[in-house]
Amino acid sequence: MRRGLLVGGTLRVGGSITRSHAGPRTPAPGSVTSTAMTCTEFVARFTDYEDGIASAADVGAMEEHLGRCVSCRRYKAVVERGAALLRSLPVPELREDFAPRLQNRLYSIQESLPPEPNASRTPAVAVFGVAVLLTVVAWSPFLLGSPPVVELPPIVVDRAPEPPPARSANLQERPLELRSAPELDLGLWDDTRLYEYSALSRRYDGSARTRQVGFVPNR
Amino acid sequence: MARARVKKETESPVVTGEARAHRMHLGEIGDSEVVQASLDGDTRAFGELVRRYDQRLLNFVYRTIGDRERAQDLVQETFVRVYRHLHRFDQSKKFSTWIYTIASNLAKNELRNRSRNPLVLFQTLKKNWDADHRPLEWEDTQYKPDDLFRKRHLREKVEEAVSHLPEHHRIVFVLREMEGKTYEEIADITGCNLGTVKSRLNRARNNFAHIIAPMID
Repeated sequence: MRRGLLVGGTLRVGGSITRSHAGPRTPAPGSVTSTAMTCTEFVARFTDYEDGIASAADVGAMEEHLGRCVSCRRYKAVVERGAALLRSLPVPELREDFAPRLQNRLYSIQESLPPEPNASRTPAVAVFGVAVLLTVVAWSPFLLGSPPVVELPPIVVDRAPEPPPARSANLQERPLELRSAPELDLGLWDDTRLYEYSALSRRYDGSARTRQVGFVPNR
Repeated sequence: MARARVKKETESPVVTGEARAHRMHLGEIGDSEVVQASLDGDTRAFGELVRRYDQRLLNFVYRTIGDRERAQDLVQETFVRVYRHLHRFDQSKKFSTWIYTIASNLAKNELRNRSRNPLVLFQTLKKNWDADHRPLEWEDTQYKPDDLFRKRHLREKVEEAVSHLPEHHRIVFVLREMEGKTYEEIADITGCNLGTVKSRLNRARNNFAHIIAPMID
């Protein structure tokens, strides 16, 4: 036998139920609409009641409502029975390779992690100590006393400085003096060919353009 | 943080009496003490945490995402993240809430990814195939075959009802009804306030009752 279920303040009897959350919740025939508590209020406060966190006044009102309302008793029974069924469902079993796989993953994480901070603490302290020591040594002359004073003999000037020789104002007028270095130039540039620059587009339009260059001394 | 050294099983084939006693001791103390032992470098403490939570997390994740194989992967990932970040865990809080939060976030990500890339999972097909084709198990002689069939059918409908709940209702519902978490714990795990938790739980119960009502007399 199928009995009705109060859902959202509406009594439904068996079959598939299509319900709109947004729709108005109107108590159906069979449900209670006393001034004490309506079925809609009961459903709205049901979670608090079921989980034992409703106030004493609410608990009293809801139990009084349950005593009179078949639909809400049915609703409570369905929720409780459904939850009990849910808890009785078989728990899925872990795969056999779950633990070994997890161990391998944790092992690889352990290997990839950087060394622990404790391991590098001693060298860090040593480095810091050496740095402090070097600093102290470097500053020790200033820390221990006044810096040493070096006395130099005084410079005595006994005559006025001579003026520099007069230079030609116009450097262009001075003849260029070419100093020959025959031992270096002799034969250095003989038979030397220099490739002349040309644009790439004109590179292959004729034979290679070269010219003889060089410093050809008068022989 | 002194990290617990994870040894492979092959490295410690012999369990000495001392080791057994230590394991028993770990089994008797609370989560926070086990966490502290793991942080202090106890090699077996993290294994104890895995032993305590693997099945519970698997059940929770499986009920949330509905795919057994993927749930196992996500539970593994949960433990890996716990292992990596155990030193960051605020020990004034409950460890169970923390580990459930990690698992819940992974499950939510999985559902989000699945909604972006919808595909028919073989596991889903197989689950239905199993339900339709496995032989009846005569676990209790006092029940008649039609009672057994009805009982199994009811369980399937209950599972189906949970899977049909909206995601954010489902997580709250499973945490409350299956894992027995308090409202405060659920609020911490899901990152919602208490009012939202109550509201979602009420709606989830309403929907759940809605679906299974025709099967329950």
